[in-house]
Parts: sequence; structure tokens; C-alpha cells
Amino acid sequence: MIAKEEERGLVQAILDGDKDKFAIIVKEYQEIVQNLTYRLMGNKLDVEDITQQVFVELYVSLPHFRFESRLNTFIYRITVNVISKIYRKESRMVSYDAAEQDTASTELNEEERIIKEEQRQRLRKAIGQLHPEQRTALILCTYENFSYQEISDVMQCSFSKVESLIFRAKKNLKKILDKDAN
Amino acid sequence: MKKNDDILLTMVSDAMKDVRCKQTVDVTDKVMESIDHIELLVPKSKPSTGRSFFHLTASVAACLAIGVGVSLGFIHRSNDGLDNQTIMSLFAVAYDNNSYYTEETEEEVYVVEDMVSPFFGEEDIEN
Repeated sequence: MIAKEEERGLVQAILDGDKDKFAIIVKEYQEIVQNLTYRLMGNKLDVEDITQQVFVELYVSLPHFRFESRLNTFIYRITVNVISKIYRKESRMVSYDAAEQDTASTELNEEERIIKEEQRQRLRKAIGQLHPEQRTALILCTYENFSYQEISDVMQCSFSKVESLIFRAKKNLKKILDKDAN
Repeated sequence: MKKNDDILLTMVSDAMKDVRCKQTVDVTDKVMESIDHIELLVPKSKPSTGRSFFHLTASVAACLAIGVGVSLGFIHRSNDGLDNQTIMSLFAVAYDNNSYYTEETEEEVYVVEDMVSPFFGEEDIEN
């Protein structure tokens, strides 16, 4: 990740007309955007298009970036916004493409590995059935390790709404998993 | 309950850790190309003092116009003896021609004094 001071200089240079500097930002953050997009959308086909859209929106929004948060938080926010718009247009369930998952684990024997992988798949399936807002909050919290405050910045909602989203996400996950087990 | 929640969150984290793009696609060229197109269509907006000055001037002009409008309405309402035409003539003489203050003939002064008198006392006009 780009250091805070360097980040400020970079953004200022782009705003002053040095458009080529934007390529540095794209190269630095495209992996983060692509992975988050894949986790939220569950479809590799959408990833490239959405990533492009995120960076174009970032470029257009850059004059409004006030350096109150880090650039990566701003990029996460745009990514979540772009994906939310897609969710609103077409409400679809997410299913994670098994071919993209790296299931190799050297610590477990074959039997344990298979059981563990079955568990993971059940969970992924359950996560894919959650309401998009709950899934977004849960993924930002668990995988991206964001604090509730950071999630509220990224999702542009209140702290209490984040608490509620994660509480309901966990409750619904348990419900889905129980139903699946019976 | 809380402990179970924590276990669930750990399990979610574990389940999602492998869900990632193994090979990221480099979109830099495509993004830069899109940006070029955007710049051709819409020049990038920058904070500009000229624009702010224009907005300020427009706001002041709008306020003045509203102020004049309200004043006219107030004068009209508080002087029932004058109709619109008389008020407009008065403003035209006083503002556009300036005949009362500069190149007036005796006749013009008489006409203007006659029209002004409902607004001001005779003493005001003499002064």
C-alpha cells in the first residue's frame, strides 16, 4: 500500500493534470478491488468490468477526495457502491466458483482436508444466500479485518447499522446452516 | 453465545480466505484509455476561483433583482394613489434620464415635482 504522504502527493499531482500518475494508483490497488469484487459478486466474469468501472469512478471523484480517510478506504467505498448498484439492478444469489478456490493445505491429512473443505463450501453457499448488505458487512469484517467504524465509512451508514447488519448476518448464517444440516 | 459467534466469524474468515482471484487481470491500460475518452467528452472539473466568482456575482445580482422587485411592490402597495404607470415613469425619469438632477427644463422639473410629491413632502423637494 502507498504511504500516506506519498498518497497525498500522488493525488495532488493527478489533480494538477499529471494524468499518467493515475496508472500508479490502478496498479497498486487493482488486486484489492478485484478480490473484494470477487468475494462480493462470486463471479469471475464480472471482476474485470467492475474493476475498470471502479477506477474510472475513482478518477472522476478524485477532486472530491478530501484526504479525511485513506485512499484505500475511498477505493473500498467506491467498489461497494458500484457493486450495490448492480445488486439493486439485478438481485441474484452469489455462488462461488469452485475452480477459483485454492484448497491446498499441507497441515491436514486427506480425510480431514475433505471434511474441512465440505464445511467451507457449505459456509460459502450460506454466505452467498445472505442479503447483499449483510454479506458486504460480514466480508469486510471477517476477511478484510475492518473495524465497525471502517465498515460504516466504506458502506456510508451508521455504526449501529453495521452492528445490526453483522448481527443479522450471523443469525441468518446459522439459520441457513441449520436448515442445510437437517 | 458470544463465543459461538466468534467461532462462526473465524469459520467465515477461513471459508472466504481461498475465495480470491488467483491471477489478477491488469486493467491499467483499459482504465487509462477510458479516462482519455472521458476527458475528451467532459473536461475534468477543477476547483476554480473564476467559477466561484461567477456564482457569487450571479447570486448578488439575483438578490438585488429580488430586492428591487420587493421594494417596487412595497412602494406600490403603500401608495394607493399611484398606479403602475406613474411609478414606472417616475423611475424612468429619475434613473434613466436624470432630467431632474441635471439637464432639466422648467417644465420637466414641474412634472417630476408633481409626481414626486406623494412620496416626499414639499419641504423635501425644496431641499
